[in-house]
Amino acid sequence: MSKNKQQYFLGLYKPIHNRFERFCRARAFYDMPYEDLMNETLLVAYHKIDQLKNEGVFLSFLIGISTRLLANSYRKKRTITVEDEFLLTNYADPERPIDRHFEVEMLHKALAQLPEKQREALILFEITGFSIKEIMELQDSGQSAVKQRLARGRTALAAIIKGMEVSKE
Amino acid sequence: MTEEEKYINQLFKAAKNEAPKRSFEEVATHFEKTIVTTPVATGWSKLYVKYFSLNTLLLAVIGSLGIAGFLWLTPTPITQSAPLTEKKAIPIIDKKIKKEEQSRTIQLPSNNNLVKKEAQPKEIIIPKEKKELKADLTNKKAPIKEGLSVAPPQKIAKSSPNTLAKTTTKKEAITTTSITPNPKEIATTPPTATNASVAIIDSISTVSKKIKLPSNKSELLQLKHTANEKEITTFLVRIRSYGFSLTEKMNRNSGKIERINLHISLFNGLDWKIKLRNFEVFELKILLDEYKNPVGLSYRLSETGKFSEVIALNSRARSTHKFSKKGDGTGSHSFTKSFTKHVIN
Repeated sequence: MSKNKQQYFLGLYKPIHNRFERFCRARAFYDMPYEDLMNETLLVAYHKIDQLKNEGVFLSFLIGISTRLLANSYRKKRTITVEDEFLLTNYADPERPIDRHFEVEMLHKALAQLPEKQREALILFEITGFSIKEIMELQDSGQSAVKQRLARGRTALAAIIKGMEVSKE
Repeated sequence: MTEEEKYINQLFKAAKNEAPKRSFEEVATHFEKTIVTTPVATGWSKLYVKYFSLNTLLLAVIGSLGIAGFLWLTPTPITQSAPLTEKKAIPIIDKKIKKEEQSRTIQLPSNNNLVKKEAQPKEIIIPKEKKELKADLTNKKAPIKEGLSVAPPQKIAKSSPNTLAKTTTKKEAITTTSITPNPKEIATTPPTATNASVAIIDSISTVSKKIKLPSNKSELLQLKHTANEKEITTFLVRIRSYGFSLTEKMNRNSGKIERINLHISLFNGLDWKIKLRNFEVFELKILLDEYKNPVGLSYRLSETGKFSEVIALNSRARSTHKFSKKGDGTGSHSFTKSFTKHVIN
């Protein structure tokens, strides 16, 4: 019985693994190791699989759990500077081309400096590929609020990456 | 589209198309191993962990009552030392005591006699300190009433309140300092928080739902505008040690903090943003309950005036506070605040 449930669960998870992994890597950057976030989310989702209304929204289901786990996490946050070499070495992937990897890491670091809602909205929209409607449901916000977060987030992101200070939301 | 926007799009595209660092097989293998080793948390076990302290207290109370009751029901030393502990043996001893006119020296019936007169006991309780009890009798200490001697002191019963007190107050690590009239010290000591446990996390996440008994305890955190990076970090870490999620943005100029934006929040609870300008000392008071959990926040700027209205942990609040200094050294505060309390579902 439990094996059937495991197989069913993994069958649901396999098609969305890539998107979920990218989301966790971007969202958990410097908050916690993304592997831990993935593992914990999958465990919680497995035990709460009965609450899944529709198999088509399994990714949203996982992301909702991840967001709540992150919010409950007892982790230290600090402002990050782009020149933080410690983080670069920790997250370095030797198999990836240096330029592309550096760019993505820089993006993740810059995203980590944004307010939580803006960061989440940008990651969901730009990296994970969610629509605005789906983001509205995940963040429990209106359409204009989500669009505003995306717009302001992009502006703030550009400034951060450029090294300027922009006032936050 | 500007160059910056093009570059941002390029970065997002790279992040979106990046191959995962963890393969599905790796995740699935780890998942299957974890599922086997992780026990399923049932409703009752979750409730136990959630209300760990209360459950521990209840168990301790029930346990101590059970032990006290057991000890009260167990046979007394004289009956233990006697070879027969059945009820029939006691009347025999009573009669003998009466006959000897309550003499202090008491000769217990010999084992042989009792064995002859009475049937073999089905249950014989062998006393642990048989020798000592006999010595007590010969020393003529306490008067004997109805064949029962004074029971030895119940050590367990005496110590149970203390152990109870210890278990109730033992709670993992949030240290506080009591409020002083003019606290000047900045919180420089590093937090002594222990490893975050599930119980703590759950208790903190539901702290806004619980209504604790009123307490005069609080912790006062100060941040001076001349604080260095280490002091600022200590200040922020101290706030986070109470379970608050905190993001900050501050601008410094010539080694002084010019402005600071703080966003202090709790999951499903507090959402408080405060903007501070031109302050000299920012004081944040975290109100605590008996169990040293935060129940509210209050703040004051530049040690003038009173502390602000207490912001409850289920509030959504926005505050701006600016202290404008005049040429003669005085200043004036201007602030706005708005907060609403929302019902937690």
